[in-house]
Amino acid sequence: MFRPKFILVLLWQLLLMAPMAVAQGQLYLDGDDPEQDCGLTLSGKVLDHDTREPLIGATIYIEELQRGTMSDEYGNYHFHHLCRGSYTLKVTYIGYVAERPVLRISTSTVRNLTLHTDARQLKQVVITGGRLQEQAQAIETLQGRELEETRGLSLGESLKKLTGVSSVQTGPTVSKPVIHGLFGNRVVIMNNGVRHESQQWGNEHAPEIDPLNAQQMRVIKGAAGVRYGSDAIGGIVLVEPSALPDSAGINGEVTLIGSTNNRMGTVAAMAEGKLRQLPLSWRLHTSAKKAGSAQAPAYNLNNTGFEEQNMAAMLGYKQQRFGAELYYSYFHTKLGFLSSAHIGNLTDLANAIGRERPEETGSFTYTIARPYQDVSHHLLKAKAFYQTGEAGELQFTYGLQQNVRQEYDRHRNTGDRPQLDLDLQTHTTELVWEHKPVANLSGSMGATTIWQNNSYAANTRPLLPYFINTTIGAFVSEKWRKDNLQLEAGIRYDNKALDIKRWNRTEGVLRPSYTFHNFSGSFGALYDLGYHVTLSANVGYASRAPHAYELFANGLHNSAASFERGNPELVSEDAVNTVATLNYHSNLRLNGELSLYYNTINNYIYLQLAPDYALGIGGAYLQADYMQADARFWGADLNFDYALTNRLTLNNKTSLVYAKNRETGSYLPFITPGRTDNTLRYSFENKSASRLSDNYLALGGLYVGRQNRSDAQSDPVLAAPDAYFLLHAEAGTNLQFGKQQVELGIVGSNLLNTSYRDYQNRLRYFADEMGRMIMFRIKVPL
Amino acid sequence: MKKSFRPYIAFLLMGSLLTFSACKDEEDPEPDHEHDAVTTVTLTLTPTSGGQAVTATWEDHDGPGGNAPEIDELVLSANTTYTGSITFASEEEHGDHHDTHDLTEEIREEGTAHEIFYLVTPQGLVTFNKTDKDANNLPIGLETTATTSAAGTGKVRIILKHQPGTKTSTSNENTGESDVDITFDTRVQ
Repeated sequence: MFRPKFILVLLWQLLLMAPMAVAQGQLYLDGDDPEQDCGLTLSGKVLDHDTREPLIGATIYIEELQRGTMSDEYGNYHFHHLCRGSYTLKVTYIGYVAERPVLRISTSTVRNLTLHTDARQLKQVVITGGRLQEQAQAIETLQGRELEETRGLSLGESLKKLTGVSSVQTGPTVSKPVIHGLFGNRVVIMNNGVRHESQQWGNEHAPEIDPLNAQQMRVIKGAAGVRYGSDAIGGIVLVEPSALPDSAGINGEVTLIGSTNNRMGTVAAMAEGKLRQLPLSWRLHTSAKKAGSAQAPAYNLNNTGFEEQNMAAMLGYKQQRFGAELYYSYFHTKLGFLSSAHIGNLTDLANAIGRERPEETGSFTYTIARPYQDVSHHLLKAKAFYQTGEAGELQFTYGLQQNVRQEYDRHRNTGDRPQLDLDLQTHTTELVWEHKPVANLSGSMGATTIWQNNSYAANTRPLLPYFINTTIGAFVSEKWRKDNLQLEAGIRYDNKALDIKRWNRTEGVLRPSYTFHNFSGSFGALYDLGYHVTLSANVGYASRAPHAYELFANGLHNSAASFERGNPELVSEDAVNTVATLNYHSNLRLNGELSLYYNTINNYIYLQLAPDYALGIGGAYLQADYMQADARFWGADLNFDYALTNRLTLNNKTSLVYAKNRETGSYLPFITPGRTDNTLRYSFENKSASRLSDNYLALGGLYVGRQNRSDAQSDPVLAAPDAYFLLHAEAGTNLQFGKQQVELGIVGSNLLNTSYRDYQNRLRYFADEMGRMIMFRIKVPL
Repeated sequence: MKKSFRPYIAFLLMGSLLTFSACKDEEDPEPDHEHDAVTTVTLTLTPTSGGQAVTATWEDHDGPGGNAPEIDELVLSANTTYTGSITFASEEEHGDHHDTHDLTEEIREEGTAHEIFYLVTPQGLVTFNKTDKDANNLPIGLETTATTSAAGTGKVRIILKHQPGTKTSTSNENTGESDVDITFDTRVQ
């Protein structure tokens, strides 16, 4: 069915490669003085002399030029801008005898370098390549400088840095990640290796994770059900803290962040160490955040302050064959909601939309009044691994989570009781066996369980019923690699039992129960087309069982003035997701990645506003019902860097998403409008005499188009807002005070103080987005 | 090898023990009811000249959706002046017993953040005048006088607005958030 499409995709990619090839041609031409002919390239593969296997991470050093490089995961190496002449290469790799071939270069040359094994030195070594594409699926990683620039922002806001990722917002404080137009229950978040389980069905429920504790965040785009659970139709967010230290001693780090606009202050501190006598390491991390009400360019966004407290402790024991890890984290937040967005009934909604600015603007304050959310999340994780001899590694992970969500409505302030008070407890276990490569085959298999209990406090809103969810799953995933080709395939089965308990006025306690059988599978191919181009394609299938909320929601969602009703007849959604990615890498000037995807989701579950109203004592409310239809999502992500000079780089991130209801031909609500972000970054040269190093300056602009693919069906309340353009800038440096190093950073967003509204912000009916904000960051390693 | 296998087994056992011991006891949900949500509004109109008081009640115990609310018709006499009072209550059913929590006093105490509006169609069928005042000398609307003239039929819409910080001498029924917004079919005979 998708073969013709796949060929089309390939053709499309070839077309796109043409300009890249031209660009590269120019690159050699515009070298230095043409008479000197210093635009030569030396490239090739580093191979094992006997097996012809590529050697990953081998060091190639040109002695005359004192320039070195490392071979990538296919064994490829490159040197650019060489002049004519004779060069001595020094090729080294652990476990191999070093070679010193002498090469005479008069034109650009491809030369394979072979090494002989050194029997005396052969030991187990682990080499990590600089650029590693391990999976055929599209993956984006946020780490290093880019991650540092997001410090102080929430998880959802941080992930927006990645191409193809946006967020669904509720005011300035709540942000949920959206991958290729999908979010909520369709995006699985793995927090330090444990499936994050909270009330993710709610658009105004942000993930309860402290991004300051993460060293790396990865996003797998597209259906990725095999490894993490069949409900990952949209993709996976992996939030990973750094590994525990492996050398004895104690380290620490203090980070201070402050910002203008909402006058946010954040303190984060970390201490870690390893004992000398025992293979025992530990880490403590804590952070606290406090912000006042955010400022739109024209007015104060009343009651949008928030506070957050986090704590994490980690203990690891590691021997050669056996290791164990204990991790506990606590997250607590209290966040205010824009007061004028919390409305009663339809008349109030019409009034609120009709106003130029919110009814109550108030003035800046740190005080959080009703309506607000108070959420706490505990995670206890225990993990152990055991090397099963030559065969591989066995891993067991247990996670215990408790999520308590309290929402305080803005009715008469009688008492201090919340109106919504949900308690979700989750136990997860995972047993995985990763086997050592057998011939060209490597992979893993495993079994997972989830046991979950949801309840709500007496005399609070029964928006979500009591339920017990028991899910048992098993998966196998294998990878086959030979020469330039890697194939991967995986399959998973999940059995989900959902036992609901709900109270009915006339019939008492009802106990409907469901059993869902969900399969997921994936097939991918990765092909290394040469020294600079990798092509990959992946087809994933995932099937998501409906959530208890989608089946039995029953209540008022105040910020939407809608009365939401579940549909007990819903069935699982099935998604087939095809992604093709072209990666153009290891070039001197232009490097980038283009991904195209096509995602069909049958029985896509969505909330549709009904034509009739729900009548209550507070007046009439919009009524929204959960429905199913066949849907289609498609789009493209482009991300490239172009080095204008050695110091100046242009970065482009562009993403487009299209979505349609295949049954009615109408548009789906809440889909990300097209967006493009272009940044010019200048990195200053490090001077040995200077106290400052790694200085950089960046200036960029984000353009978000108007969502023209919306109509009265997808957005019956208010049409999509206009397109907008925001200017942003970043700067950073490392300061050296004697032996003490200090990292400094400044990030400015919405520099022109533009008034705008974002289509994916649920509060776009009521208020503008935040105005100019400048965030300062100081990190002191101790 | 045998020796080093033990910690793993121990771990697995520990994990599974945790899983089983942490399972909660079976609990049943309480009858669905949101605490302190207004379920019942009663308008009482007593003729100033003496005589039988008229009451009209608007009741919806299970909140919006679910069972339809029970709404009385308001029947008044022509050319009569009434002293009006309105009460708001939260009624809860706990299986066999019934709790009523009167919220009227709380609204009176928070009078500076609340106002009740009486909107009558057609205009003039009944005329409501608010007679009570909050701490800022602004009307609340829990106490009224209601005057009828000619016979006719129409509707009386009553809105309880929550106006924290926005209640002023010029604020109206479009200011703030609606706690209550109900309508009585009305007949003046």
